[in-house]
Amino acid sequence: MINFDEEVRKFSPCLEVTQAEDAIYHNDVKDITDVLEEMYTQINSKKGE
Amino acid sequence: MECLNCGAPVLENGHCSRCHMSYDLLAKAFNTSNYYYNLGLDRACVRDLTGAVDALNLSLKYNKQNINARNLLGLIYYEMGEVVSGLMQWVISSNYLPDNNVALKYIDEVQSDPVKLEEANQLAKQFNQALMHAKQGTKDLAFIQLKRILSSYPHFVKGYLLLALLYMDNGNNDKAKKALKRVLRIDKNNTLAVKYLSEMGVGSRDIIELKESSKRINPDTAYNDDDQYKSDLQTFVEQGIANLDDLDDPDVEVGAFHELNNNKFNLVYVAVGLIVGILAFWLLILPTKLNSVNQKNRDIKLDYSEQISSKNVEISELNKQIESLNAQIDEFNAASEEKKTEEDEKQESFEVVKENVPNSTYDALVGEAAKQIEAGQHKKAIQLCNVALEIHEGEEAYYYLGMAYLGDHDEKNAKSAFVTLKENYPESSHIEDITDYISE
Repeated sequence: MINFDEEVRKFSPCLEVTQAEDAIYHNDVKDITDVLEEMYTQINSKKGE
Repeated sequence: MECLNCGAPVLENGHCSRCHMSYDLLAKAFNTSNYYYNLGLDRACVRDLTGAVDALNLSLKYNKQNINARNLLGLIYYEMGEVVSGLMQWVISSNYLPDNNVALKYIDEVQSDPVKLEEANQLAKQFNQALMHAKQGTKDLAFIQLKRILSSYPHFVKGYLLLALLYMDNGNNDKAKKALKRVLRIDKNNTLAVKYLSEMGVGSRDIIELKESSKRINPDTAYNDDDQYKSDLQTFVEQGIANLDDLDDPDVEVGAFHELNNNKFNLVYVAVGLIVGILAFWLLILPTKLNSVNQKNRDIKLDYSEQISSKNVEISELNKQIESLNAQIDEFNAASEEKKTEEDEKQESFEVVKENVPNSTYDALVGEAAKQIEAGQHKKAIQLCNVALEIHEGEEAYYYLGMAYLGDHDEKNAKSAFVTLKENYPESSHIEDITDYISE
């Protein structure tokens, strides 16, 4: 049985035009390249120590 | 071979010479990204938009610069009525590839029509308001907002889903099904729509039939709850089914026809209509308006309080600067005072030294100056005479200073020295020697 309150909580608000700029600037989704870059940086910093 | 990340040459060990990334790893990640893009494209082609969104998001996790995946994701969001989300993906895409990018065309198309963009913004605002009403329990307002939205934006999937949920909560499963049918017309495998249908007791076979029958719906036409009967009648005619169980209101009995005389009730109907209209305005529309006005006021208050706090921060910073500048000025004054005191002390000690220097030093300096003039060292003689004059003034010093200047071809200073000699020591034995120079 569907619980209305639970289900309606799962809905997220839509992006408004005024929020688009912020959303674009804060869109820092990492891909594989970013993860690898971070790994190399960490390895190099450990070597430097 | 060039690195897929930065474009620098790849070394023999398979790593980039600049960013040191493994070429094989990157190539694999990029291939996987393309694989998920292809999957997303296939799903989008058969209108499985939810599946396509999942695949494309996965593709972007492997390579966020996969332009095709990002553009397609934007297009799907646009198709599902989420214009701003679509626009966001296209803007990011055009940032990664500013030339020859189809996203630029899409952005131009959306931005070229400011009315359309404003409408999309209003859609988002109204949906958010409807969602807020639904969460707060004012479901009637949520119904009104959603129906208004969907009559203008028949592609807005999220709106249909929320409307269906509200209908389900209201016990009106037929209308919920109708809204979900629209969703399945736009997004064939929408998981939420299928879940809601299953919860309403619709079997998987019936869901497939629903999907098939939804193909008759034109998703570009405005959504209206009241055409349910027409839709079901069309189904009935096409399938030739002889029962009306699936129709919207199956309990209607067909009785004998007789004409009703409504003339005497007309005035009452009008009055009741007016009262109902006023009540509807008072209970449904006025709270929405009040809410929106209150929201605006809150936004304005928030904006002003932010401005005030930022100004306060600026003022406190400026005060700090003033304090630090005052401290610097005080320090500078103290330093200059100290310096002045030091200079005075130096002057005093010089005067003391000057008074205590014996006359023999003066005589020795003047004598040495005379010797230097004879030796042709006029510059040295000038220095010696000046030092002698610092100790104390004397006719010999002025005389040899003038002579040294003459020897150095500096007649102006020579004349000045001789004039001083004549004025201060008119009885000097050198007056006769210098008269010619002074008169020149």
